[in-house]
Amino acid sequence: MFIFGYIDAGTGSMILQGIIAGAAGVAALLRFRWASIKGFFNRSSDEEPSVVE
Amino acid sequence: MIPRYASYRDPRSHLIATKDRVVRRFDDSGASAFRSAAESGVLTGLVEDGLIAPYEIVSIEPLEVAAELIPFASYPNEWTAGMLRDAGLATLSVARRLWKSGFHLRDASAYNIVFDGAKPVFVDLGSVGAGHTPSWSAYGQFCDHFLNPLLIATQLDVPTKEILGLEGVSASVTSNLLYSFHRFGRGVLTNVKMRDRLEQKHESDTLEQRASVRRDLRLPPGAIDALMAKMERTLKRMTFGRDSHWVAYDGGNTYTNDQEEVRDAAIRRFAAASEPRAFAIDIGANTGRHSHILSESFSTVVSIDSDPAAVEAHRERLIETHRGSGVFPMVGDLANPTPAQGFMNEERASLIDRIANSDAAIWMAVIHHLSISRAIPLSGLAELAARLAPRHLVEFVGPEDPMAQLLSAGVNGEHHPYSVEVFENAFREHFAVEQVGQSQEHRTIFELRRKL
Repeated sequence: MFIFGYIDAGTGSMILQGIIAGAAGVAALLRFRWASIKGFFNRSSDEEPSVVE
Repeated sequence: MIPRYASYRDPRSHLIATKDRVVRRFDDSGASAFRSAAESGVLTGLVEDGLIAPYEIVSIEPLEVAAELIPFASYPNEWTAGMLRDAGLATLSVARRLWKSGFHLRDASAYNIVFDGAKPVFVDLGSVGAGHTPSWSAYGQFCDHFLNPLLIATQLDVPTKEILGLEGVSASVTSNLLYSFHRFGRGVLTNVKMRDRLEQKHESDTLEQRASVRRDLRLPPGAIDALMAKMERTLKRMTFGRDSHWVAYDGGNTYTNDQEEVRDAAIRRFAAASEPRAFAIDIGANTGRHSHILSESFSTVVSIDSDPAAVEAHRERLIETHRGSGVFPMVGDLANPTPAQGFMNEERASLIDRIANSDAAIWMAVIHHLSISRAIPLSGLAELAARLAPRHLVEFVGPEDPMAQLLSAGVNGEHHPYSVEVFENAFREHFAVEQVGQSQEHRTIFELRRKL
């Protein structure tokens, strides 16, 4: 059993944290996906040798 | 008897002394959380970074922890918006550092921060809780005490002193005050509008429903740190400030450099006669020029001004010049000083109680404001002065002075008797009055010594 302490955390405030954390999680996931999509398209240029010997 | 000194709320620890040192006694569960935090080293790190005051364990059973007393505490409704923001950021720093070490901050009351000069210090060591909680339990209190009043200050340009009570400002009041277009402001939609909705919706929850949320909501620790980090960014990006007549006054007032020097020299002479560790008040301190002179002789100077912009400018100057400690800028009005607050009116002391029995006070060109504009008879000010300190330096602005005339015109000349003679007679009731300087034609400097 978790103890929340002597101040009332507020049921609404607690649920809101779940929502914000969920939204932040989705945003993080989207950022990750977007990075991998960009990475996919950038791959061809990345593979070019940067130094020609 | 309930534990005194503003610390009865927390069942796990309370203050048992506040005289020379602050001593906090813990119950068993509070003691075990504090001990493990102390052993983990996280508290040492917080002390090193100045976020909490250095402490010492003075008794093991029961656990008692002593810390040095900060000589003066201003309250959140005496802070500028900048001070409230910095206090909020300090609270978040403490909360996040504890969290990273496997502890949590059990509350987020603005009263847990005391400004040691210009620097916010977290003083409630009893707030350290063991382990991680499944949500940020102090989130709502943080919003009420810091975010909401700051949003009202920044979005509506309302000084925090006008709106802050002992419990902060609720989501519903903040939501009602902010216009709908404010929802686009950073942090408003979620922390105010949505929070207000959800709090209202769940207000009539049954015991079962309440328990189920508290049982089922489990956020990963990383998500809770992310919430606190987001709050930190929200506060850091806040900007406020409106130009104040009084801040400009400091640079372009009616005094020539020579006249300023007369005032400075009078203050320097007055201050030189002080005892070491003495406590002075600067009434109408503006941006702190005279407080700085006082601080060369007095170990504590409380700088009171009713204009938040002047207080903020003073505080920023203290931070820039690293002259943080010893000078305590605060927003206050001696015509209407902060009342005592809280349970039995004893939880938070009135401003007068906190500054009474000082060692000295200066009133540079401020009495005409209090007497003419604020309608306080000079005899009343003499009585206040006698309560505040045994020694005073007063720059009295005579009725012929252009500024006094301006104030008098504002009230159509209907004010209590006001002249040098009335002033001297009123203060002679309590003090020996001696003229020590003349800064301008109609501005006279007096030194007062309280009669035994």
